[in-house]
Order: sequence, then structure tokens, then C-alpha cells
Amino acid sequence: MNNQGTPATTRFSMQPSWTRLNREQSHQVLDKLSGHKDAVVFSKEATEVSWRSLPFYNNYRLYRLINYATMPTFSMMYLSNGDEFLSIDGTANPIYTINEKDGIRLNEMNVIPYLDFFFTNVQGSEGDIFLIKDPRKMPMLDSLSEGQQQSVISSFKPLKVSYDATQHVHRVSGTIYYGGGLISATILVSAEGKLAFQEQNLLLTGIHFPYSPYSQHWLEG
Amino acid sequence: MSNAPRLQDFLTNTQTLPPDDVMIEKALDILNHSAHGQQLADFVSVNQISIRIMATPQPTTYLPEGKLVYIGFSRNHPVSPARFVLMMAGILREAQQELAGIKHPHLHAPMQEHMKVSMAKHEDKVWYMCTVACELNDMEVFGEYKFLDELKKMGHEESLALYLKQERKNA
Repeated sequence: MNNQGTPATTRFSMQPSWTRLNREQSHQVLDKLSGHKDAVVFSKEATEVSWRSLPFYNNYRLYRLINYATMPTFSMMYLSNGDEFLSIDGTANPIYTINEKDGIRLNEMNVIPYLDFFFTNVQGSEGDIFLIKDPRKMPMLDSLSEGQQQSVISSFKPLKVSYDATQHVHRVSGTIYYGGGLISATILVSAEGKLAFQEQNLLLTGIHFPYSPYSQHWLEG
Repeated sequence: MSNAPRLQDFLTNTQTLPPDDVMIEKALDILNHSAHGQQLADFVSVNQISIRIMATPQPTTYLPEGKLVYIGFSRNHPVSPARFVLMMAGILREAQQELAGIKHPHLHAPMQEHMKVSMAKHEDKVWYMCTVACELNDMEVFGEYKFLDELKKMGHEESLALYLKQERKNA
């Protein structure tokens, strides 16, 4: 384990691609989901079901349901072991529940993918949080003024990951976009995958993007 | 720093929302104050449209069946009441289209047909949202809701500008 806080930008593991289920398998998933109280309705004819593994879980995968009969397409994500399906609902609850059930395995290689997964699927009280790895590749950077773009690039602090063996936490320090500002902070990720923030420093304010960095399209239309 | 986002409170849900049925009822009540919104509220009661709220990471609406609509948002970061009303107006208009037989083309239909029908449906929906937003925005009682600002935040700034230009022309 590295306790020195090495640059992490070159160590992100590639996210595995989606595996599409065949018609029969898709119907099995949809049947299981439809048995749930308050289940969101998906038509069997127009829904594609696919999954991908997550490097920090043993038995649970991320399932994606896309209804192609709407415009724009409608999708929902679930965490599932094949039997139990927990919908990703924008809060940390389903992720923390699966962390406990599946015994999340975090290490220096997968803690950044875990944070990416977490922030993609959980909104804070002030909206999306976005972990910046390379400011030049930041989504929607070109929607900012030239001056703001330069400020973002010059304020950026590269990601560093280290492991604190005494407290059993991973420490990820870097630059975050949240609530219209850039913040340098250290994120503590416990062995159970719970997040806490330390050493926050506001670097830049007034950064407002026209839509969510995680949206494929404009916010609801 | 006073303007610093409260990162420490990132996962603290400080907002208590009313029950789903209350939010839906209130939004329908607000829609009833505008001529076009009232038409949508009537459509809901006459056709027994079921409106449900779902928990999703990003704000979204969904029409899986003609008589069932969903409005989704994160409980950590709920949409504003104004956005909720406009989202409801949009998805109800889409439900109206469906029940009137104006449906999205079949998945295997030619691209041209998808472009033609789906774009027309979307244009009609956004036009309707603009109309409802303008009608409600003109009412003093809803001054704090800032419906037009909300519509812009939803990504419809350009559509709203076009709509207002057209309305001025027609006036």
C-alpha cells in the first residue's frame, strides 16, 4: 500500500463495457422487477436490459434498463445480484446498503472508480458533485468563458490517492466541482465505502454549467 | 467563506418534502390557474391519469403507458415547485398526444419517420410548457415561482425566446 499520496491520474482502471441480455433474460429481469411494490413500469417490447460489473463488488452488478419507445430514451439503473434489485435513486442509501450486503472491497486501484460511480449516482443537497481528473477534459468546460476556463485549469489540483492504515480509510485529495464552485478537498473513504470530506478549500466560484455533468442530454425537457 | 458550497453536508438531506400525493395535488392545483394548464388538469381527471413520483438521480419524466406518467428527481436535491409543475405539464401533454393517437413511431420505423413524428411531438410539448409557464408567470400570486427562469434552467431558453417572439408577432 502506498501511504505517500501518489498521483492517481494514470491509474484509473477502465470501466468494463455493458453486456446486453437476450430477450428471454431481459424478460426475466423485468418480471422480477415488476413484482416489486412501486416498481417503475417498463414495456417488454421496447426495453433493453444490460449489465456491467463493478470492480468493488463481488456478487452485485450494475443493471441498466433503457426504454427505447420514449424520446429521449428513459433509463434506470439497479444494483442486483440477480435476485434482489435495488434502484439507484440519487441518494447514497442503495449504494451503502449493497456495500454492507456484498462486503465492498476497496483498494487504491478501485477507489477512484468507486467515487466516480458514487458521484454519478448520488446528488448532494446542492446538486451534482464531480471529481475532476483532467480539467481540460472536463464536461462542458467550453460552456464557460475563456477567463473561467483558464481559472479552472490554473486552480486544478491533481488527484492523489493514499491509504491510511491506522484509520482504515482511503484518502483521495483533489479538485471537485460542487454547488457552482471548484473546491480542493480530501475525501475519506472508509472500508465500508462511506464518504466524509476534509481539508476543504474553495478555489473558484460562479462556475455554472448548463446541464448536469452526468446527463447525456439537457435536464428534464 | 460564505459562498462556499457545504461539501460537509453533501449527504445530509436537510429538505423535508411533502407526501407525494400532496405534491401532485398541489401541482395540479397550480396548473388549474392557467388556461392551458387547466386543460391538462381536466385531462387527468377525465381520463383517470395516474401520476407517480419516482426517485431518480437526475430530474426526469417518463410516460410508459398512455395513462401512467412518472416525475422523477433525487430526494437529496429535489426540483423546485415551479420545475415540478412544468415537468408535470410537459409529461401530461405527452400523455395527451398518446391518447389522441399521436404516438412515437415503432422502433423499427424509418429514421425519417422518427425525425418527423418525434420532433413534432417534442416541439408541441415544449410549446405547451412555454405557454403554461408564461400564463402562470403573469400571475402575481405565483411571482416567487419564477416560471420563466425555471424553464430556462431546464434548457429551454432558446425555445422560450422563439415562443415569445412568435407570441409578440401574433399579438
